[in-house]
Amino acid sequence: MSIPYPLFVYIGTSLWALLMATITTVANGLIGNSDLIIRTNIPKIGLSLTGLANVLYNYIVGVVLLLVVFAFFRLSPHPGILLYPIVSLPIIALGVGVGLVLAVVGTVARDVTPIAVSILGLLMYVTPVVFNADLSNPVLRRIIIANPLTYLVDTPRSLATLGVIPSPIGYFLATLLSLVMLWIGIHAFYLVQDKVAERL
Amino acid sequence: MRSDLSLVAHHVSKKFGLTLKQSLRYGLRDMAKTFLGGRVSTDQLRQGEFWAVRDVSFQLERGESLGIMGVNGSGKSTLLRMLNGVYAPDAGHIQIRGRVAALIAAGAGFAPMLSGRENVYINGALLGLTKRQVDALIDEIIAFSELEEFIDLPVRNYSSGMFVRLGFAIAALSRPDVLLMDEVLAVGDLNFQKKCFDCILSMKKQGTSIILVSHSPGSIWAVCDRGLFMDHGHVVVAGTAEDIVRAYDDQNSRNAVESNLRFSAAHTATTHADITLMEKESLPAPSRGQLQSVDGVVCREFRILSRQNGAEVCEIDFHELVDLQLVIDVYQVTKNVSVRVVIDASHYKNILVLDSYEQGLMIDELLPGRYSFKISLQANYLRPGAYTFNVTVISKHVAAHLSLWLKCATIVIRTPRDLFLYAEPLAVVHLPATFSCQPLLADQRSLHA
Repeated sequence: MSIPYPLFVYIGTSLWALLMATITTVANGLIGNSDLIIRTNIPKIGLSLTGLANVLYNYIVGVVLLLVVFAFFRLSPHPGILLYPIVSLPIIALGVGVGLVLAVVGTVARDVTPIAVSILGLLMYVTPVVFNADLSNPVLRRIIIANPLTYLVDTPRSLATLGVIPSPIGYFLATLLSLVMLWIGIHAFYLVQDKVAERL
Repeated sequence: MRSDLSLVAHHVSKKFGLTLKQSLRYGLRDMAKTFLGGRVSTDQLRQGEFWAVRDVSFQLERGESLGIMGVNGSGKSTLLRMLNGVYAPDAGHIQIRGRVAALIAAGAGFAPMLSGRENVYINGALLGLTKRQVDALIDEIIAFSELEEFIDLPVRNYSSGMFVRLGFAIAALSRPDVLLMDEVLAVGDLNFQKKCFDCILSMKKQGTSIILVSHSPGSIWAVCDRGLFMDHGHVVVAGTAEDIVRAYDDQNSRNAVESNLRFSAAHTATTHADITLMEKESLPAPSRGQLQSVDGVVCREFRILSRQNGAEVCEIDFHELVDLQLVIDVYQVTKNVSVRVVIDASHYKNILVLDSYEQGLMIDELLPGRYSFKISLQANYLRPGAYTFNVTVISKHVAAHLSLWLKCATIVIRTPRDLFLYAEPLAVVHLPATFSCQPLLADQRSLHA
């Protein structure tokens, strides 16, 4: 384990930022496009997801910058970095799922979205984003191990720097959970999307 | 659905919550119920909800056009949004055959940073056109919207007229099967409005069904075969365009009277409150609203009586004759008295005057006591609308009036069944006249001679 700390933190925070940006963008997609929703009849899920293009663009810029950071530390990334965009996909899936639920709930109760986003932001402190998972506090350690976000952040980072997947089973379960969340989000969205327009 | 129909609305209803809190609570409850797989019954009103649209049914054939009129808040826009598929009806259902284009507000869905041309493609996509279809239409759209040199300007720099022109051009030239329009043409200039009407009529001939929501009787009359007049979410009148324009005019007249009364009451209440606060002792409270006496004469009663049965009326038919009755109290001997009734229309003051001396009555002397005047109208040429009456009592030798009573009565004159008075909403008097037409020159060539 010999990742320079700045690199560790840079990757961790950019993955965390990807999750938060996906959630907020998708969650605000409906409210931000209320003008279009009220006046035209177009699929609402599309409007909710249009902001993702922006998020992905930022993400790509972040990946390019990541290479610059590697060069700065005179390190060569592990070939596993080629899988980096793919293994970070579950983060986007999870973000879209949570975002879609917040989007429809947010049209009825406007304040729910920012509150939920702030609370989710707190999860960063039980996810190894800026610190290592090997903590001495046993309670915190147990929470981090039980937290699926741990694996979603750790796996792309370890793969890019060291070329290893720390816990394949943990990553697999976390991915599964992300896909379930995505399904719940889409399902919930389609269930109540007819009621969305009149709330905007 | 029959094959010649393009739109069927079947007992369509939509409700809204009155307060934000209530609708938030119901919204969250309904949403939780839906998430958990329960069915939410929407056809009953819960406490704090009201029907914005209630039980509206109609059919529209291909190439037919329907006008919807109603005062503000009557449910027109909600109905249009349901037809456009934006709101889901809470009860009933809507069937539409073909592609719908909606012009609900000018420039809906225009991205401000993009140019007009780019927005045409985006808007075309929103209307269900492919890029190739828009490619084929773009020149026509630019020409129709008269935006030639501005088409590559970002639309945030467009004027509101340019917005409407572009929006209309896209919607109209995409040749939809159903076109929904909500009061959008009023923004364009006269030339463009005329072009729009020509375009709408030619679309109609080609089989497009049109629904037009407007406050302008002229547009409804020009475009629509049939119409709905809505009030508080209900369809009150469904009939010819002329019928609904009449119903709309009558409703407007009634509302004018009502809001006038309400405003006066609120105004009196505020002024009165101010006086009590400021100078409780020194000013006498004004008695009976606007009623005033300057010099020994007080107007007590003013009534508009039906000629037929003598009952007091507040709404009469066009050309109907009425009697006006004025009761005054005289407290001191007053010489050379005349009584004057001044009528205000809703837009103009003092449009008519009935003065007793002008009409041949000058009272030499009134002794103290109570007097009743009756003014019998010989003709009534007032156009449909709302009118307010003011009364003054005057003495020849006193420069000012002896008594003045503003807004002592209001009356609504209903639209006639046999005439269609659409031409000028600001006109107040209708003089019956006979029009005739005779040819003077036989053919067009002789015009140039």
